[in-house]
Amino acid sequence: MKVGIPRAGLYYVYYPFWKTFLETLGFEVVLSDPTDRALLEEGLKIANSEMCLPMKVMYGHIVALKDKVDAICLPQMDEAKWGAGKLGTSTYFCPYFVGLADVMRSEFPETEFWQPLMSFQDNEIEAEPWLEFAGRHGIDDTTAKRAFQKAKQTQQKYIQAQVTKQRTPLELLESKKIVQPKDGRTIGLVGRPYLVYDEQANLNLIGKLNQRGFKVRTMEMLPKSELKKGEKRLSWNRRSHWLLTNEEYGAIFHLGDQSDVAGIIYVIPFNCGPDFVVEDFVIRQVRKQKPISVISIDESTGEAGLTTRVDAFLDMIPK
Amino acid sequence: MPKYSSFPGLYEHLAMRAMFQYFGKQFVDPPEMNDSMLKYGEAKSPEYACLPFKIYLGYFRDLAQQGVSHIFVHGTRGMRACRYLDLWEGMQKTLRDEGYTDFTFYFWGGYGAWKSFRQLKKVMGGPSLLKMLGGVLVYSAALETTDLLNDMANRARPRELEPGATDKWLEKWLTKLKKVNKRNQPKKIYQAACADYTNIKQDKGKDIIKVAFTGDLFKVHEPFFHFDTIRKLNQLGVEVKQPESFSLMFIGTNKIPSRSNYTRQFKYYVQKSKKYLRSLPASYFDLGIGEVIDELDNGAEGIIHFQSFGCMPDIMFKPILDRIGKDYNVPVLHFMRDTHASDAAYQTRLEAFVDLIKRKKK
Repeated sequence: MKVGIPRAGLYYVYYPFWKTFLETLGFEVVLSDPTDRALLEEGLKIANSEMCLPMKVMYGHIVALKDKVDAICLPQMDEAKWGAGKLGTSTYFCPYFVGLADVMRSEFPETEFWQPLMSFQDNEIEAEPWLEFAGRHGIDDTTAKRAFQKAKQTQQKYIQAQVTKQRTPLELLESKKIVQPKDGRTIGLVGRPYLVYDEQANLNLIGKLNQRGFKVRTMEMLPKSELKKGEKRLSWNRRSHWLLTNEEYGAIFHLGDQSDVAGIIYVIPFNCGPDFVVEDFVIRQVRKQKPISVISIDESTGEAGLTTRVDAFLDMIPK
Repeated sequence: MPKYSSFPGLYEHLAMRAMFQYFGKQFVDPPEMNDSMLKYGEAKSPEYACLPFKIYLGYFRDLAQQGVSHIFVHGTRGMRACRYLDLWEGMQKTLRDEGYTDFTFYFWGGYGAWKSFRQLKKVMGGPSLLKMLGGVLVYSAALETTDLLNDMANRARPRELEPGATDKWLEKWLTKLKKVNKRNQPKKIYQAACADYTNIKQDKGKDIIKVAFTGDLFKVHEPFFHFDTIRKLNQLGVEVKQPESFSLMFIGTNKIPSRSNYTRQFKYYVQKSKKYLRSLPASYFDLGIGEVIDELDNGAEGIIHFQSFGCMPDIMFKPILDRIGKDYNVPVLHFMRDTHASDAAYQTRLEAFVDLIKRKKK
């Protein structure tokens, strides 16, 4: 049985887990092709105009996959619990990733969407929902447990490799070669992984920085412990409601402290719900210690406009 | 001594007022929402802030100018209503930066019973647990009555023979709720209001259209926010139910005993939503979808979805409501309000939508 996974959204974060789990259970995983303009155009035809760019990209990938596979797997990204899990202390993924399968089922009723629940306890993926999911597909408990353990280990290795080898998801998942200049200054590039690593969506932002002689350090290359320290520095002294938003702020505060980081680019999708409230406050705090630029991207962002923004920012960084 | 007020949501403040009076505390009635609040919010909010953030920021600033420094807000289901906490924290920070340094939100009801009682104890000056239980029951009894009266008014308004009679009736009985400070009073007021309800002259045989109205929790309760959709539709001879009532959200999710058994009602709507929804992107999402399906099952002939710019749950509502509309073969109107949307344009779209339903019916 062929199961499709869109090369969009949280693919850049959890693909090793999803792929290993499904393949160990005996499914054939089919990945959609990298985003290109034609695929994005397909997404734009169907998606709500109010949606952010990454969701429009996601629509394009669903269209590309739906006739090639028996089902599309869109995990329901649920609660991330911390410590004893008291009410009100959990953090969440953007609502789009919580209800993605429900939305897509409404858009494409003829397509089968799988919606395994993905929840977390202290950053660890919880086993129970995945075992239940396997059980619903007639897989015995022993095989399911083995698949979960294997998938979890693969995921851990993937996350560790990003930090220890200083490699981006593009290099690790797609064997893409990113040539960082040897002697260049470093720019911290922070943002949603599905925007930072989708070269069509961000118009090759990493490549642009490298071509201009700057090394790039992304959020995924930083240890999770540093991200957690940083998120507590938000001026209202409490984590944000959103899991990835917290990591972004952790990364921004951490990068702001690093003497070898010349500046920070924070890339956000236009009309991003989670980022809008706290973004303003974080920028106000961090700009006191490091040049920071917020680049908002949508489907109409043009090459020339983005290049001008990036060049203007790089020009103002002290030599 | 800090002055307290509450969230702007239909008549919820009357229930909050009743609870404060039960504890012998002063409560400041929230102001009517207006355009100047929106203008202030627009000027002071982060650029990408959603419309609810902007409007509520202006509203709370108005209260802050009246000397109110503490806002008591109720929550539900672990406070996972969209970006609930970030909204309040953001507003609190903005207002403090603007010089209202003591401005504080108290969240109540969304963190489970223990934390809610601790909050209540802090605000009300350390009453006993029994007294606090009484306070919660006063609040929920008053809340239930406001919603029951509102539902009755929404049924009568499209059929009323004397324009404005229903609103006069509603105003009269809501005013009486302002004096409530005991648990049994809301029930008595409700009973008297029911007796008085028969005085509203109605055309019972009028050919009425029913429409399901929905949207994100933050705006479907506030008439200023949704351009008074329900009243506008009522005047066009359309019956509309108030969606996602506070009674369902607060009493239903916190499983507080009530005459209308909101806990059972809440489960019923959630069950109804299952065909289209397996996840919970925001705390009211399943309730909103379930209510729409229930309305359609009970004869509603269209869906009106009131959106606001930047609201993610609303964007997710859209494809699901479109699918429901196709399955039930009813039209769906999505109206998105941003800071520039006009009431007149909305009225025109509502009139066109109602005409469409009437023609479809013929």
